[in-house]
Amino acid sequence: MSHDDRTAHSVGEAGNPALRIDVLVSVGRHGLTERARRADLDARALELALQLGEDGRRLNLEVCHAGAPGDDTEAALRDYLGMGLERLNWIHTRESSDVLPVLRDYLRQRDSGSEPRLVLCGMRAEEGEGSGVVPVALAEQLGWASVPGIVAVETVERASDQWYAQVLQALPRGQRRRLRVRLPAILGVDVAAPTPRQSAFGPARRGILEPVAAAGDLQPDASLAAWPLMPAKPRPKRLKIVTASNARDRFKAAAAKADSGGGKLLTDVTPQQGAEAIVALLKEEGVLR
Amino acid sequence: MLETLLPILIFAALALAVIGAGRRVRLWRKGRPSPVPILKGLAAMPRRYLVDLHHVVGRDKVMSNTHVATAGGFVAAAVLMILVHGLGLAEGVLGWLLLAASTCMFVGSLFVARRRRNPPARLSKGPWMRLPKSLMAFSLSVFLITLPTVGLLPEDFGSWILTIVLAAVLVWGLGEMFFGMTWGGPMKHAFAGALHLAFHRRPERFSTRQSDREGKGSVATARGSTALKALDLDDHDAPLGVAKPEDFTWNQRLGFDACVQCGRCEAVCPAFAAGQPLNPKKLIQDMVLGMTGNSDAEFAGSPYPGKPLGEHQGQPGGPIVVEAGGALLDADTLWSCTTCRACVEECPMMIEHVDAIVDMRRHLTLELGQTPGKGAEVIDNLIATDNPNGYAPAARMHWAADLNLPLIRDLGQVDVLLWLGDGAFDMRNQRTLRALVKVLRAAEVDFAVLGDEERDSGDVARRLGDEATFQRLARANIATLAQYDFQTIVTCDPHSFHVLGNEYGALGGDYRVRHHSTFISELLDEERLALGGWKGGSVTYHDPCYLGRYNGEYEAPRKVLGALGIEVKEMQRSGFRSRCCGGGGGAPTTDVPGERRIPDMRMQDVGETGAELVAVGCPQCTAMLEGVVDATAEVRDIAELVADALLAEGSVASSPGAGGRKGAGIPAEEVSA
Ligand code: SF4
Ligand code: SF4
Repeated sequence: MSHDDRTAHSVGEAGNPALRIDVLVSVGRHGLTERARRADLDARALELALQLGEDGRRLNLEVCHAGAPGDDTEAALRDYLGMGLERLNWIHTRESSDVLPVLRDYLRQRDSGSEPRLVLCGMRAEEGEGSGVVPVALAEQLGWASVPGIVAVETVERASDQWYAQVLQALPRGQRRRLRVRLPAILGVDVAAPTPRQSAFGPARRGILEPVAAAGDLQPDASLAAWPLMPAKPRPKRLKIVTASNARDRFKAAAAKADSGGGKLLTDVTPQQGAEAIVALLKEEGVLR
Repeated sequence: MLETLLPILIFAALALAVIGAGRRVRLWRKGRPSPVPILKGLAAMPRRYLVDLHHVVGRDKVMSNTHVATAGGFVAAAVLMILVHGLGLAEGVLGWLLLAASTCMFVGSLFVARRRRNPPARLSKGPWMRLPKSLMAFSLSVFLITLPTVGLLPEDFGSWILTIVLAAVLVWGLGEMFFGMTWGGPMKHAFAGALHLAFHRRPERFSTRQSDREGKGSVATARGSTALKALDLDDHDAPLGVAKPEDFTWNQRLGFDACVQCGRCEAVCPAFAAGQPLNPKKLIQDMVLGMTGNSDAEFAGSPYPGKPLGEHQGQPGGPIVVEAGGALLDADTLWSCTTCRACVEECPMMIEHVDAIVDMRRHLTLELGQTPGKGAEVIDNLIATDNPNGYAPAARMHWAADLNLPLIRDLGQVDVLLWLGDGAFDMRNQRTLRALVKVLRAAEVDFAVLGDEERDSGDVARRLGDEATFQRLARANIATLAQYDFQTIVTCDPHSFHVLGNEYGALGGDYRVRHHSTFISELLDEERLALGGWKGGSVTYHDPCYLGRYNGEYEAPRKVLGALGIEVKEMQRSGFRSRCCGGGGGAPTTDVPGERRIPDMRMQDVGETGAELVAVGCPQCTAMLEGVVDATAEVRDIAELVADALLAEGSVASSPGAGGRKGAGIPAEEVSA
């Protein structure tokens, strides 16, 4: 744990409050057999959280799932318990409920006062809409920061009465960006985050699934109800025609990055200019009309 | 003076031995319960010793005779000594018998001494080096004190100095033999070994008068005697595997104590030879150290390759493995084992190394979630897709798209259920499967397959310690099999063969299972196959561990090869001594680094025979041996060799030219080694 020359203190030092982490987990489905199991990204989020507690930092870790009761769900949630949790909060909802208000109220209820606070979850669920909107929407409703694509939480420090986390964000092609985020924040964990630890049978069987009542009334998920759902079809892949005659060229062709034609790199622009550039692009692409 | 001293010495030694025995028994009993029939076990002990143990010891004739002379002489001398010198029953023939017994023991101890002059690396040194001297001290002093008793020497022979010297030597001998037996000297093996034979956890390993072995080379062929013991997963309080030395059952602990540190297990262990951090002998000694909580600094044998002595220490109630290392042993020691069972097969004390290793793996996997290497991924795949590589279950039959294989679901009832195993997903093994189908069709066998209803047998999961996944797969397979009507399951995978035949029984699935080599040899016996002669070069045969040592099938594959007209050039290590290919027990998955690779060593064994082809009977062996670079021999499954030799349909009566039915007609005895 590094000390900054600013007035920063690392969490874990005597007298510092514990780091409060909520991990939001969902039920995953295996891609081929559709069997219920822990969702890969959520498991990575939990792994990040567990690793944060491994270097002596005091953690106040709670894991939560909002969803309808069912055997499949229970089996999947036990996968998370098998990673070494004693308990997992399970807000019982109905199949058609919108989890957003439920989770929002849950997080709001557990206000931590002055503790530094992180919420971790996978960037996208494997079931339901799988739109990846939950972390963003939650952050919006709670008025917290939201950062997607997280692969590591490096430090949590206090600077002038505010808690900040230094995080690593994944960018395409293995690039990383280091960010400083004001807490509380909701971090969406990327697939490039560390592989989740093995889920062991013993702790999974022993762990407690703690039923938690939803704070308010359950509301139906309006958008899901309005959407037509159909089974996904694998998208056909465009074949790359490689005319190379030797192994070296074939390898280069296989390893080549996809060409990104056009595009503009903006540096040192004001947020206003950046936003205008984005809007212009969206108009150009026909996304905004 | 000696007359007064002797009873005191003898009974003092006996009393100390009894106290030590009580303490040792209490130490064993700190393990978990394991009910055994006490009286029946004790009654069976002499036979188990004389027949089964000596069956193993007898593989080394010199050592076997040495042991008979020394141990036999000692037991007789000890009993007689108590009668003659302890109780003063010197009359008549007893004294003479005592002289004979101590002489016999002395001769034996000379041979022990000779072996200790240049002991091979597998033998432990340390206190074991003094054992021959102690044996001599005992036998010689007993001999000498008995001379006056029978009147060969005058009662008051020699001076008091001689008497004192004699008494001192006797004290040494008595100390080693009686005191050391129960207080932890080398002679402990006699005490613990005898009780271990009586209370063995697998009584089915021993022959009985009725079921006496038909002279087979293996000690471990009784049905189910090689199966891993099932965990009771319904009992939520039962520990999942072994975390600390006290989690072993008491008779397992007793078994560890029986080890004589002969190192026969070490000499045959493929992982040890490959320089991986495993030595089965040291592992058993570590289990002994764990009972008392000592460090391994005093261990007098070969260490685990790459792990110096003195850096590990356990606690009787502490964890055996800690992630940081330095506890009783490290996890990579446990994960190096291929479960080839060579150690168990060789162990004269009938110790069950593989059980202990899997017990400890169970804890690592089920409680700690620390299956190394690709282990966790394999287990996840098994959970999600019922096969270790995560293929779509619906793709299981793709290899046979053109074969029109009958599904048992459509027929409901057949003679033979062909169990494919996960090799169905593997392009190399698919060739074997196609060959096997060709053979079955040529013999007009009424067979079908489960198709997509088949799941992994659970072998790998179980050996990686994931008993829960094993039991789930096993129960699912048993439920599927229960729907259909068949006589025999045939499979070309010895692992499935072993698990279906020996391990499903405990979960309620009893089947008649045949390895394809056995089944083909039965077809040959029934003259249902017409085979041409062998035109290729010289051939050797690699015994798969799970077919040979686990199931005692050494003959059928050789018989089939013989029927092809092949004269098998045996490797030095073949039959029950076959060296593992390195593919069992999830070892390729956990992939613990060593100095050499096990399959490379096996291919070298093949190379030494000069054979151009090595016949195998296992998809794992095929994969491991074919993975050897610069191999000198081709790898073919027996099914492929038979399929290639099949004579065209309708040619059974008019076999063309050379070969013909000649191959099929050769009686097996002529060619099998
Ligand atoms: S375990 Fe068995 S084979 Fe190995 S050293 Fe001990 S007695 Fe010998
Ligand atoms: S089973 Fe095989 S690999 Fe494992 S310890 Fe025994 S001999 Fe070595």
